[in-house]
Amino acid sequence: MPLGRSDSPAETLGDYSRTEGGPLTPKISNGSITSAPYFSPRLQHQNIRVATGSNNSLRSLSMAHGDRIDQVPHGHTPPTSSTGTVSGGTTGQTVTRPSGPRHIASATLRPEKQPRSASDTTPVRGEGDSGGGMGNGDAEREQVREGKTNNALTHRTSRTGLSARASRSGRATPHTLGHSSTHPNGTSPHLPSSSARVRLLPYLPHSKDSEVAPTVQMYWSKAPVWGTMPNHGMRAHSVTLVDSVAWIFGGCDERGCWKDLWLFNTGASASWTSLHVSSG
Amino acid sequence: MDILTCVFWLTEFFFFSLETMQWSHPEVQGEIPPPCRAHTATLVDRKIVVFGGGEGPVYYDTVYVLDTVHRRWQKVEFPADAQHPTTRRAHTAVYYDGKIWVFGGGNGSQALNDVWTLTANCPIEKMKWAKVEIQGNKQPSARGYHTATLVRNIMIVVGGSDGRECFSDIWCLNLGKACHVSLRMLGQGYSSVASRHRYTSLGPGATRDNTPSTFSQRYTSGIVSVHHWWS
Repeated sequence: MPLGRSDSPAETLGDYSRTEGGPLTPKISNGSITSAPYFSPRLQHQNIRVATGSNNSLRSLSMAHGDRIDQVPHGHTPPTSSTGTVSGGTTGQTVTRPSGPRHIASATLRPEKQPRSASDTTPVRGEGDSGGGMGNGDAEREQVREGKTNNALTHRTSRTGLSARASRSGRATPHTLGHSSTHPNGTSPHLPSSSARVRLLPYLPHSKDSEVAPTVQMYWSKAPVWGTMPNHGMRAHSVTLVDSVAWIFGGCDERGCWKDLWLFNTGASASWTSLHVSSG
Repeated sequence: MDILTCVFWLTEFFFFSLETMQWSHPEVQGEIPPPCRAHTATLVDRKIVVFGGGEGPVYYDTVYVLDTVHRRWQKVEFPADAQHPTTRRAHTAVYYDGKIWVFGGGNGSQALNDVWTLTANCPIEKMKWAKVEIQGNKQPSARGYHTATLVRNIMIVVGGSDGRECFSDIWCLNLGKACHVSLRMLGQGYSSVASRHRYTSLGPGATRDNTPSTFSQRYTSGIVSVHHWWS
């Protein structure tokens, strides 16, 4: 299952690897992303953690990744790009996202051009990736989601003494964090000098006034199933949901058609049920 | 494991089931349908109404009802002289206003674009087929393997194939007025879900990718207008 279309040179910037468990799950080779699509309930708002002793900030982050935020084509934006939790490798930076739909006002901040594939939205390596004073190479990838991101980032970066204002300057769109300037020291010691595009808002290419879907619900993930499992493949079957139980009938595989019935309890609506018993 | 909590209250037991992601293979009684694929299974008041489908070269026009409470199959017998849809596979069905609305499919020799209703909110012996006469000249071309999703009173048909060509057009069938509205080409998919006002098409379409797309629409005085697809 392709992770994205690669019909643009910009697509080569992506660094997604195909994963068995989730077609749209980003995977970083150095392990900086572990279980990207999953979010703890406690991560309902921005949680930006800066490693002790680190002088980096949103600004340095942006500088580290450079500005690869513009002139990307329209197209799909996989949810992984916006909901992944990425640990910042050796820098200790962790940027997580708020969950749930965002307000329509965010749609007005849409950039003119948008990526077509998952790789577009992944912070990626670019020019000067091999060190460049950052010292961490490609060990760090950052994904930032919008919502309260800007405010949160601004707040946090203010605490670190650096301004987030710079990150929104230049050609950076409100959807992205990026910066083309350099660190006051000429380097950002805790971030790679790689080019990256960090998107704050998912794209709604045709929408100006619609709510953003809760993309956290739009990930594929393999369910941890148990019980008496089907012993044959099936296609062209039917699935009918009765409450939280999927009733699966028929279908076929290479051996022929089936007439058996399977139930799959999704557990989506755990609820109380009652059993009436007669006395005596 | 099935029942984690059991509370006794007078003569009632209350269960709070936390079982999730569990497969089971229940035994069912009654007249079990033959092996079948590409049928439709529509939920009607805790009963699953299975129509059509087929196996190998055989196409069905039969209707079976599975009572999910008693786990019993029952075949629906119609009067010999009653009108009914032809055999078909890869059709779609939605339940609206007490009826199962069936569209399209194929009978092995040609694709179909007829619309039928099966009165379903009644005892099995009173179920009845009726052909829906579509108002106006607009109709989707004959097709199967499309998707159909009910959003309010609109049956949204996306994509499909007639065996030669894969379609990517979208049709909205107003079930209240029984008329089709064509929408501009936007996408296609084999499976779909709908939640409130939003329709999500999940590929893979025959000629497109597997990217989930969401289709939002709004209604104004019964008129469907597409606001956007975003993908």
